[in-house]
Amino acid sequence: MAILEHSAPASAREDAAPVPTRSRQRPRLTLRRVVLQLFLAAGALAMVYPIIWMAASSLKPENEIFRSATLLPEIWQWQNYIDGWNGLREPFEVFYLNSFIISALAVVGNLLSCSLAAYAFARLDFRFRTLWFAVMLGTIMLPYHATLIPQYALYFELGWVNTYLPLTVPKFLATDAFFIFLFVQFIRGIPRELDQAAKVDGAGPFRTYALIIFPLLRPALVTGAIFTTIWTYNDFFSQLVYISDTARYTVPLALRMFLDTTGESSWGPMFAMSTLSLLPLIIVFVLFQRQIVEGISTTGLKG
Amino acid sequence: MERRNFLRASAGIGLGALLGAGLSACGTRGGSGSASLTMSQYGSSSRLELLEQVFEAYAGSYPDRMVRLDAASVDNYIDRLATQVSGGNAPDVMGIFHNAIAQFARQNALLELDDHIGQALDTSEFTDGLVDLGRIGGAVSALSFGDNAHGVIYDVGLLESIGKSVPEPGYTWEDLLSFSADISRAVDGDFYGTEDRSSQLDQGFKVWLLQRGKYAFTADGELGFDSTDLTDWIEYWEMLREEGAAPPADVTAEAGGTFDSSALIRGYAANHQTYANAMSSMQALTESPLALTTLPIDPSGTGSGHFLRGSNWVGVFSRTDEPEAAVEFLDFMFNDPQAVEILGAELGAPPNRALRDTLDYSPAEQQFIDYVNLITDELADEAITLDQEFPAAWNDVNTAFGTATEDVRFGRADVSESVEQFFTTAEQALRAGS
Amino acid sequence: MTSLQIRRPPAPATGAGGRRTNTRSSASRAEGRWGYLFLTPWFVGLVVLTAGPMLVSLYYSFTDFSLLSTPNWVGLDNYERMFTADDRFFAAVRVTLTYVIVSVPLQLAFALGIAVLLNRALRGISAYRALYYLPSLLGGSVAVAVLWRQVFGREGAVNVVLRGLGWENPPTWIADPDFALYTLILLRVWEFGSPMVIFLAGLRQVPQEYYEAAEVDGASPVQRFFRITIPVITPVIFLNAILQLIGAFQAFNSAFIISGGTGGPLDSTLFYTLYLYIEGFTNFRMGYASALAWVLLGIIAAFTAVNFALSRFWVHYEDGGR
Repeated sequence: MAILEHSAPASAREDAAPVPTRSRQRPRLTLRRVVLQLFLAAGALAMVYPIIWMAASSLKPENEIFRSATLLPEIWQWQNYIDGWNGLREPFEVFYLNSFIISALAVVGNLLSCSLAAYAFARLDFRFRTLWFAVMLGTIMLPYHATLIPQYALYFELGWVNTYLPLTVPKFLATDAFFIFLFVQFIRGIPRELDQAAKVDGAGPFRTYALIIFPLLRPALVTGAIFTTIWTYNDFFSQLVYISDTARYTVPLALRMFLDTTGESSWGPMFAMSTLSLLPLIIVFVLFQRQIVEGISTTGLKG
Repeated sequence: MERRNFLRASAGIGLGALLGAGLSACGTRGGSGSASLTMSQYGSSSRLELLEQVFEAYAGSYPDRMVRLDAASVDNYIDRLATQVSGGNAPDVMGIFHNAIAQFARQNALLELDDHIGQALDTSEFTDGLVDLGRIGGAVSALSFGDNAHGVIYDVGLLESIGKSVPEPGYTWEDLLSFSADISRAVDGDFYGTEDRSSQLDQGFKVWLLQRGKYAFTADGELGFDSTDLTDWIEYWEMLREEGAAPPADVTAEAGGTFDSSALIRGYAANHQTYANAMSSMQALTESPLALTTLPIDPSGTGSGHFLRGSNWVGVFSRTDEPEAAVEFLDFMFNDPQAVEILGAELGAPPNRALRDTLDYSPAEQQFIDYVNLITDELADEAITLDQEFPAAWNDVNTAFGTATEDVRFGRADVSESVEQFFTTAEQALRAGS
Repeated sequence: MTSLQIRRPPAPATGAGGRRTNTRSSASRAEGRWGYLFLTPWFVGLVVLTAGPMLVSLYYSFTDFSLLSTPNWVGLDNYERMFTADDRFFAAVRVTLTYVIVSVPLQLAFALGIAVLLNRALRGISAYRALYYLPSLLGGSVAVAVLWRQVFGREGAVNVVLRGLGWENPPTWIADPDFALYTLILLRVWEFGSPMVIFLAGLRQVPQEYYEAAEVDGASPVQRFFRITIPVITPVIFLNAILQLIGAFQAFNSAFIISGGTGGPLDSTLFYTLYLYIEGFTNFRMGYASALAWVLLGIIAAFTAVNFALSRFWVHYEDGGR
């Protein structure tokens, strides 16, 4: 695999004094900025229109949702939120808490295990590295439906069914190889001179990983944290298969309980809770994305 | 009943568990005593709540018994259940779709109930023939929670607004055409007189066929109809579309088959052709009053073409640790007055006819009950088993049927081409599946 | 400043020119041990959790496994049926290839463009980032099906606009076999948040002084984009390309939810994994579904390998490309 092969001569990098990050100039072309603002705003509106529609529907009575052509409700049905929150066999805070627990564990697991593996793939030289890298990528190429049955049998043998273990333990064992690859690519964007310097200072691989790579990998780690949070939070299928106690239900499982294609669906409460369920994710995103952009930039260490 | 009273008494004096353990250790039948069961079920939250009330009532009557609910949303219910069965970890009692029972039973996932019927499981009050519907390979493999039948739900409000009323049972396919075309004309194409469900093998087509004295599949697992039948069917609906009585292809494709996305609820058509037990769920989705009627009849045909169907089904996992307790729990759900009252018409018209007539229903449910009584007691033709209705290759045949009818609808193929294609594909699938 | 020159042109892989020749030494053997140590969690996961189920599914692909009963060995029957007697398989391949080939470049271009626009100090920029990310938060939520109908249905927002523009009878995009797949492609492009975030993180690796130098040299913003931004983030572009490629080949949720699990109308949205799911979990032909899965793995692996092979011509790494 070319990724691990040599493709360019060693960098002819110049050593320059670190410069402070984000030395932005004051805007000069205000017209351009206004146009940009308008463009971004129009784009954002088009992007979120369906979600606005969802939020609006969450305030409509059931029989208005599908028949009314107007965006805004004729009758504001705040009751949908109350019905939604309390409408299932557990109040919604239970589902939120469950989802948070699983997501948090998954984030910790993914960041640790995948960054360790990624460091090895990106920086260390060992036998069969290319082979293992290919195997690693191969594990994300098989559709999960194909491995579901044997995996279920395995977790059942382990006694893990109807616990959160099948949803969290694998994350600590770097089974989300997606993130390994993500981190590998970012580590490879970090100049190797930094490790060499650490090596000269007597740091072994682990200290190099912990003190140099891990901090510099921050934008990628934050990215990984965002994705893990969102994907775990939204991962309906494995939660469906492994969890059967309603007290252990997560948000997506709970949301489906509002719908019943062969019986009665509660669309209003479903939309209400769907809208609400986006809030934690939005908060996570807003807090974390700032970390991507405003975190320690590798810029200062480059050039 | 006697045995149950005895159990209640023995549990009351605290001997139940002990006695039960002793009995089951000896492998004695009719085992009582403590048991913990899991029952899986799909459906709305309100349905699951009703079930849990039944579980509570059960635990109230049998203090050493408990039933736990394993709920899952309907969309992924069967794959989840199959995964559990495959892992050897399926619920003791499982709610199951009518079109999946045969598959589960053929692969020995369901306990055969024959030996229990008339013993721990009392079906004497059930509608005649209901129990036999669940026979797969000769053995009763599942029971229906309720009687059901094909029907058509109309939006009475829509009809009244243009001076029409719901067609009375006995109207013909020709009536449906003119009636529906009238409606479409009256509203200038705002919506259509009837929806087009011609692609669903398990809906109106089966009724149409039975009016010709045929079933979709023969007892030998071959196709029970010929190209003339299918050609007539497709051409009939082609005519409805041409007359503007039924919507064009893309509207139909958008509507989908679920209640909330049905043409009726979306306001594209005045009716929805479905199983009758949809009535109260559909009513909950609209303020306009709905009414239930039969599908049209063929005046030159034989009988109404309607037949007794099961609604939601329930079976026992073949490898359960507690077969006796599971069967006894089934009996409780079907025959205990308290349980039957809790469930009402949620899962179909209560099979226990004596109890069915004693319950109070919502107006929509009452319409459904009356309709089912009308069909099963007066109009029904002979029903066939799920085994015959759903041969191994059923899904393939169903898909091919949908493709054939949709190809014509979308103008991708002419009628004879798609009929031929259907028979080629379906017969090949049935051969491979048998 | 000569930093622009640091941006090497895509270096052809000319072999071992810059390879450190002193690698396989005892120091390297120590490094090898460290390598395996770092990989330990992944190895444990691989051996205990991942490899077993994968091999079992490979075994299933040579059997008639039906999910509910024990499998019987049937040799290559499943593979033979796939290539000789299954029209739906080819329909699924066609749908999926179209989906991948159209959606992946579109989504990447979109994500990169927006990421560059959003990678600046502008009032409210973090709100914009959140808004543009918002659709991706929905994932495979059930609400998506309804939302998409609301946009591309007969009376949907798009058609309201088109009718306003004078098109009296626009198609029902989501239910028309000619267009349904393209609405799903748009759905994927709409949910471009993940590659956008990766691009945003990647853009943080572009040294600021490169831009400053370019500005001194009088390079226009477009020149700066193509001569600095793009070359520096090639590893991230490559990463996104691979991930989106794999993701698009395995796309399931959107088709499952929007077509109600059928792949309709007329199999026009029968994604490969959806067909696999239908075969495995609706028709209970898990053996056949497993064979489908392994063929898909082969297809994805081939696409990925080609991409890796091509990457040496255009992707370059800060670490010297080792």
